[in-house]
Amino acid sequence: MATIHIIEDDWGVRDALIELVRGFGHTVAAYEDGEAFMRAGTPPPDDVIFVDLGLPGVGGQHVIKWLNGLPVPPRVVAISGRSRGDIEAALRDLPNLTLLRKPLAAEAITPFL
Amino acid sequence: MHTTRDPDGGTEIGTVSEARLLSVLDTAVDGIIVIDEGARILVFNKACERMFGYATEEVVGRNVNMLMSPEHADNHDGYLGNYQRTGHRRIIGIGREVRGRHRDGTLFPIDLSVGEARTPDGRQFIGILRDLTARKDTERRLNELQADLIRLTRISALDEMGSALAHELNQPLTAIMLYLQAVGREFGRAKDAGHTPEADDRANAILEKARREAQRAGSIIQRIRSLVEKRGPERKSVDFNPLVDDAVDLTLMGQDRNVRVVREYGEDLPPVEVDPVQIQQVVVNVLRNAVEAVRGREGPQVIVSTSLDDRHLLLSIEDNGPGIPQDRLADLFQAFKTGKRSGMGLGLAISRTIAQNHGGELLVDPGGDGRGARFVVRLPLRSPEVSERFSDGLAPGRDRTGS
Repeated sequence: MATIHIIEDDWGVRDALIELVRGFGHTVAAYEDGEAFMRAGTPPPDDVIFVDLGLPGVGGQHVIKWLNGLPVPPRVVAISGRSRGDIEAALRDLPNLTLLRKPLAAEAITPFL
Repeated sequence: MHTTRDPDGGTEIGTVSEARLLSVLDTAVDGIIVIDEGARILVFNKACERMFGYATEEVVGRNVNMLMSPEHADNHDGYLGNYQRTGHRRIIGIGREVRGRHRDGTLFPIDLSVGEARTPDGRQFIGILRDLTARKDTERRLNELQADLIRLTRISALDEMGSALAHELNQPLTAIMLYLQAVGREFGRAKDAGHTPEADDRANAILEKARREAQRAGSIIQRIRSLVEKRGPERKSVDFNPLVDDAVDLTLMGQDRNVRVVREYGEDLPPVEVDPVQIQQVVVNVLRNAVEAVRGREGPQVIVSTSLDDRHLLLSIEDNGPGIPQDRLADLFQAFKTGKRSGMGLGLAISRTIAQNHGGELLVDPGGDGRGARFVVRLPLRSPEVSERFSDGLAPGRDRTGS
């Protein structure tokens, strides 16, 4: 069964995402930074990864590039509460990325589960 | 009309030199009062008539304490007697700011200097008085304008922090929305499959977490509001470290988390009497600059520390950025001079003004050559209004909040 990965440094947002995704019956793996996620190994292609762009240390966009470099990349959904300008700067060379802006409604997430 | 009487209190004196003296007295812009050893008024010039609202005839021969504020009036005879016995001066030859009492009972600030003359009729005391009401009004207005400017720069700083603060608020709001959705699903399941104690516990636990996130959002709003709301300047005794720590938290909201901020707070610092919001404003201004100076550098770090020396509380904010170039140093604290792309260039100018208004100072060690910049806020442990000048027992007429 596919795992939903959540990479989010804010405890409240991370925990709320875990509650929501578990409520749908999915297996969840959560990480507070990009390093922890990458250390955990390569995710299989049918997993889904929710990644916050404003992570401390290795930024969300670097995690996404790392995933895109895999032979068969899993589905990636970026989330961010930053201003549009900051987001555009971060995603300049990631044109086709799915992005959800905070505050997030559950309806925005469920189509990816 | 000015009148002088001889020491017996009887006939008018009318020599040519006397007439000349009277005309000089009445032409003087400053008030002039002469009293005898018994505090009786001998001379009361035109300027005094305007200042106090009494005609000369009404006051000559009466005790000068009728022109004083109650706290001085009751003690004045005692001061005079004490001086004559001991030679101990409280005001003679010194001068100070006191309050006069107008005919209508209102008290007004006066700058008073007193001299002494020995005459064939005994000792006489000459007071020169300058009405400070207009100057005080100007000072008060200036203080109000400065307070408005300080508040405007606070709002400007928050405006610049706007997107970071919006991001900080987005986090708990996102969490709340997701928690509520999650708990909604729990209820939906319970409706279909029936309530179980386990499901209720799960829903309650999620609701409790949602409540905590709502409190977090509330405390962010509260912090911002305390900096923005219009309020008069105030001084109160506060613990320094929590005050600084709160401002550091506010500054770092939504900021780049890769910047390491080290807090090294001194222990057992005494409370300090300050305007808390204004001091927090200084912390926000200086710390924001420091965070900006280290952004994008290798191992970015800012150290915020508090300490104590003999007479001051010290707050130091030191970064490991490139330091401040020499050519920026000259106008670093000048208003509207900024090396940044955004902002009005008022942060450091206002911060220094705030420190100086507290009787303190904002100092800079520019660093360079591998060292970052270090800003130090120095605040006196004693409130600046408690001046040595007034420690001899006579209450000053100075308005504490106006100085």
